Amino acid sequence: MLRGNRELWAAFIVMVIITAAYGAVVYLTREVPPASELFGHGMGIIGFIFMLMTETLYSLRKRSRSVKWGRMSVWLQLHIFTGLVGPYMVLLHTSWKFNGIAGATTLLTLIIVISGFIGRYIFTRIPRTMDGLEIEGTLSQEALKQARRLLALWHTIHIPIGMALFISAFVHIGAALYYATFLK
Amino acid sequence: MRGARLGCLTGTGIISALIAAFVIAGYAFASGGTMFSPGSLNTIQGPVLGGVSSHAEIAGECRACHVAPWGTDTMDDRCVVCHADITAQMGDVLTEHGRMYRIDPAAQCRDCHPEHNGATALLTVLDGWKYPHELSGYMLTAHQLKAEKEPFICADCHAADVTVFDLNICSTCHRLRDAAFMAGHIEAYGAACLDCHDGIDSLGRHFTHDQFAFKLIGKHLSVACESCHVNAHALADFKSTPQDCAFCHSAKDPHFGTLGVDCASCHSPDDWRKVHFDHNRSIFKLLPAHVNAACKDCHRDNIFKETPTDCFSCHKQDDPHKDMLGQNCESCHTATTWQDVTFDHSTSSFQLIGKHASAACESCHNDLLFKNTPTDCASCHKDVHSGQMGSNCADCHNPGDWKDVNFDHGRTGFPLTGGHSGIACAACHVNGKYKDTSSSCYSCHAAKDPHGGQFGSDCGSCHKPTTWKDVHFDHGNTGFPLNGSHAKVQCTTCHSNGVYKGTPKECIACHARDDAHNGQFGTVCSACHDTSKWKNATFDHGSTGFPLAGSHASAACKSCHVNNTYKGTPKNCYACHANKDNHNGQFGTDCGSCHKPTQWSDVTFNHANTGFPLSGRHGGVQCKACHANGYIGTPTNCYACHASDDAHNGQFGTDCGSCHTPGGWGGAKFDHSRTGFPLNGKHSGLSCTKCHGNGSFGGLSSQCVACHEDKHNGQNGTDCASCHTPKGWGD
Repeated sequence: MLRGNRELWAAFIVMVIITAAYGAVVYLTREVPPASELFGHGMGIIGFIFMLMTETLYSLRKRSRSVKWGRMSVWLQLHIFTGLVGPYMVLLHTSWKFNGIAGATTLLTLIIVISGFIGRYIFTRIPRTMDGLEIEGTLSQEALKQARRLLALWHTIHIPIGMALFISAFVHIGAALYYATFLK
Repeated sequence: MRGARLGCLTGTGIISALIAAFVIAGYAFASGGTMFSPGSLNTIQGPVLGGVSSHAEIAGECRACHVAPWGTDTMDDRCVVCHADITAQMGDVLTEHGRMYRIDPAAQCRDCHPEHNGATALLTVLDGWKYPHELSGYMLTAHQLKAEKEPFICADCHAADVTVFDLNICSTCHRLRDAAFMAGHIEAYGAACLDCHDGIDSLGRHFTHDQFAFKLIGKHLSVACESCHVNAHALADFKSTPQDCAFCHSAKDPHFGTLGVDCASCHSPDDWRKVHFDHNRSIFKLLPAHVNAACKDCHRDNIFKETPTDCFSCHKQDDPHKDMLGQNCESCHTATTWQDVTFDHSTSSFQLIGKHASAACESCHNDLLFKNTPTDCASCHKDVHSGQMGSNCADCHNPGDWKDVNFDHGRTGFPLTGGHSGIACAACHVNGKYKDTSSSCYSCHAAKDPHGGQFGSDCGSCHKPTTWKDVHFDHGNTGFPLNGSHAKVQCTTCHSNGVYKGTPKECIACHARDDAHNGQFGTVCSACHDTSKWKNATFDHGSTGFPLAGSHASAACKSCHVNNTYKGTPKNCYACHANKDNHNGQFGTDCGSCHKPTQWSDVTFNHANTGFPLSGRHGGVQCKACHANGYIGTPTNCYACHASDDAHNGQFGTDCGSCHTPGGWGGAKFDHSRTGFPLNGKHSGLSCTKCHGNGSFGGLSSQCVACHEDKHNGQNGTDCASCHTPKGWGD
């Protein structure tokens, strides 16, 4: 199964590397890397950038009518990669504290990742070309119709959760800048 | 990607975003910002500062601690709003925060005091911060490297909270190094290590006993601790060590307890022998000499009580008076020194006056018995006069000063006056000999007689005793009284080389070199000069046979006596006046035969001697009127001089005197009858010019008609006299 899922392998390897680095930091500093210091903060920033990429790049490519950069499958692979690695880094950024807006953001991130997995499952039931166009006739009309209905339902849930997540994340970032980064 | 739009911007997505934003804003508003808190604030209760006793109480008031990034203040400013004591510490380098501020002025409160780490999280975390540990009262000087040569970290001694220190840490570690020592040490001194140890790893270097009421001074500094802290093992043992002297020293009390147990009231820890007993508290005050005496001098055998206080008890053996002056030493002596005697000598028969008052007692009192000392001067004083002045020194001397002698020298018949009064006695009284000293001047002054005895030995006949120079010599006694200038000159002018006797009295003896006449007037200057002034000479020129009369009297001597030659000067006029002879020798050389000495013009020439006496007007004319060309051979006929005066043009010849007289040309007595025409009648009364109208006298006709107009027109001839007489035509 993984043979056809390079993005999952890549995400897994990167996450292992990140975990190893995290473990090294924990070992060296004898403490959980705080969210406000170099390692923890870097994790949060890069993870959030990955999450932003997850949110925007695939969506923009998918809906672009004029420019067709790269194949949709590659963008989806990147979408899945960043969608896994980004939240994982954000998770490490939390320093395992989940209170306040930051906790809520983490929770929403967890939800969106799970939602993403579910979406992928539903999505993969619809055969597509290499450019992502649906290939009709593979499934029975009834099955295809049901799959489309499920996908639409998933979208209806996944997107608002994502929007809530990013609103929450921006507020968290703003508060972090206010209360920590630019602290005097 | 034109035309692309984000897939999230669906209707439900935007609504969800708005709802999320609304929820967050609402919650933020309701929770007061706790939703942004990364963790709980500390709940540990502390002192009430700013109205609260823990940070958790202001959890919802973010701005109580946080500042806006664009604000001007800092979080530290917010900290010290409540923690005002820290502000005070920052200015004091001796405090923790003051010292830390100087170690790193940029450090912020949160560097060491993190928050939001949980309700019970540590509020002080010093890891990585150079905390000045000595300010905690314990230096890390001896805790730099562990036995493994690794540096100490806070956690080696402190648990998580660096502000807390568990004393057991000390023994836990140090047991590992020397378990046996630590067991004994803790058993002996207890486990409160920090009570003694300050981190420099020694009790001694920084330990000071002065922190206790019992300060270590003097010899206490060098004794071993256990000497006083006998069997002390616990801190309580040390602290309970009695502090009174007797606890340690009673066993060796040399006073056997007779002076109580408070050794320190007399002794000091510096030295047992340095006793500071205030003897003045006893009935026997210690005055100077007693202060320096050793205690045992009076208190024998270390017995101090009931020591007798009268002088004699101690000083009996010191009494040099052999008990003759009684036992009441203090009636004369003071306690300062034996020599400080205050004996009132006036109570004896011998008053101490002058130097007697300051003389040492023993200078009169040969021994210290004092009694029966003779009172006459000679018994004490050595007579330098060898008895010449008798035995009563006080006749001349007084007790004030031997040298202050009041001897009346007048009593000797030789009163001291003038220079004699100020000189030392020994100047005349050599070898201390006073008696039979000769009173003659010469007996003392012979050696200094500058006259070599020429004036005899009675100096006083000339000199006065005031000063040698005050001389009153009467020169008149020498037969040569000093008059005039002689009275003013120095003696040595005439008496050279100090020779007075036999000085010649003749003027020339002194004035030979003053003789301006080269001896021409002899040696008796006084014949002409007197003593007032050389120039006041009174030479009688008459004695030379040439008395000075007239102008000679006022002429300068040298006008005749040229070259100062006086002798043999010729007396004839011509010797001096030859070159002034206006007559060129025509009158000979005897000017005096005519001229008088008064002045040259005073001439007394008798012209009659020349055969031509000057009479009439001749007597009044200037000589040169006639003698224009000299005197000799001057013709005596009138015409020689008067030819030019001849008004008659020679008509009467050259013998003017035949008619004229020297009395004047007028009044000539011409005898007209000599002309053959005697003047008779009216002719005799006519002026000459009536007939001689043209000054023509010769050749005039004697006929009447030559002068008279003929009124007869020749009718009667020319001889008028034939009818008329000179008496008148009418006659």
